[in-house]
Amino acid sequence: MKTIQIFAFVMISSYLMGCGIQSIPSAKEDIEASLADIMNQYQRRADLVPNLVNTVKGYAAHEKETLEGVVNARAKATSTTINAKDAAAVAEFQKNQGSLSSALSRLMMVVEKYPDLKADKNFRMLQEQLEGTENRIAISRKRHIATINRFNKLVAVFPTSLTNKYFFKFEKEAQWAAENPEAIKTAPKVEF
Amino acid sequence: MKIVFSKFALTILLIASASLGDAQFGKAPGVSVDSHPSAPVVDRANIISAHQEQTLNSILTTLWEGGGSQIQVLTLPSLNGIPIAQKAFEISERWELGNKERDNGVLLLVSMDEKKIRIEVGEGLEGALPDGSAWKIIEDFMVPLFRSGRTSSAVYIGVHQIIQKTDPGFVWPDGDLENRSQSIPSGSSRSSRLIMIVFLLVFLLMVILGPRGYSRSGVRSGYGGAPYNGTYGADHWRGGGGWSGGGGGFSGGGASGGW
Repeated sequence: MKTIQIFAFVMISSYLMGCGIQSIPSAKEDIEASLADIMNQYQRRADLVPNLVNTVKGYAAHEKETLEGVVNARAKATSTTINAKDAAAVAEFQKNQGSLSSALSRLMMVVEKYPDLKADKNFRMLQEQLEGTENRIAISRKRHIATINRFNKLVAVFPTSLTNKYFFKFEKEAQWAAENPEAIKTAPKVEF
Repeated sequence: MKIVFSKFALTILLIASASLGDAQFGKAPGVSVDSHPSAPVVDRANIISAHQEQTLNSILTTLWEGGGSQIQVLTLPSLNGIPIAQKAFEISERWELGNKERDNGVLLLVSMDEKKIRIEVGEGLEGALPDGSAWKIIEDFMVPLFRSGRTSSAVYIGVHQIIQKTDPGFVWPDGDLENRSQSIPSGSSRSSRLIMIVFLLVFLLMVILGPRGYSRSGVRSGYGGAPYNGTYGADHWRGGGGWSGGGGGFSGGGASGGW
């Protein structure tokens, strides 16, 4: 009797411990991949800025403050690269991207004053592309958050948590906010 | 006793994990979208003529079954408050447009109340149909036609323009060139019309003399005559012609516009 019990115990334990051997490192890889994708999307947005600034300059050259604000915010946002392990660096990166979002919102507000600029086809195409990148960023963030969630669940929830505890010893990953808190906080003033 | 505990924990976990798979499909009030498309063209807003709907259905099926992209058309009376980019993305994923390996799905979404158009482009087609090109299709071809009330032609020409980018080898059936030429927004000058005629003749010659392109099965008048009482069930529209379908990836590519 006893040997059967021990045998069954060993079988079940090893089955339970086996859970996560593959899925945990795989989930960790997914986090890296989705993070790389977010970086791509943010870069895509940054790449649009020079063209956008030039087009606006053609109509609203003396809106210097706003234009410079965008250029500077973009420089700051593209200068920081992030390492997923470093929570502080991630926070800094998000903050800088948020600042760029705010600067771009302010620019779009300013554009409202220039109907010719608003009607310019080139500008409208850039505007649409900009909205496109915001769309892609939002989707990419959602996916990244999902990969982090998946990993954290595997690490924290039984039985894969056992495997992690005795085998991988990974920490839970820091989560990304769904919305961009910086962008929401600094709502641009509307001056007409 | 330890054994019993383990089994118990496992059972609990299995039950718990069943609830982990939560997929949210834009459950906004008022707008119900089927879990799968009934046909390549789903004209909820009723803006496409019966003839052009049939033609598009057969063309898009032929394209997909011949190994090309999976292009879906959806017209809605209203978005009911949901941003068009969000709606298009959710539908593209839910309807599993495109082949899983090739990510070659496209959704052309039109919403009449808001007067908005969006072309949602699958990841695999973003090179062939980048955001700027999608925007130009909407802006240059579809918007003028929508503005002049020619909604059916607008959708028709939109699909045509999309395919020209995503599947340049695909040969549009001859019978509808007449439609196409009428739909091209022309400049008012005589010379631009002349140029168009020249291009049309060249195109005709290429069609007559050129390569066969994709399989033409089903795109003949006899086929077009019978209406699709098609329930294109998800499996049929997705898996026709031996493709496993399974849904391609979307990451927000494409463009929106309005009139």
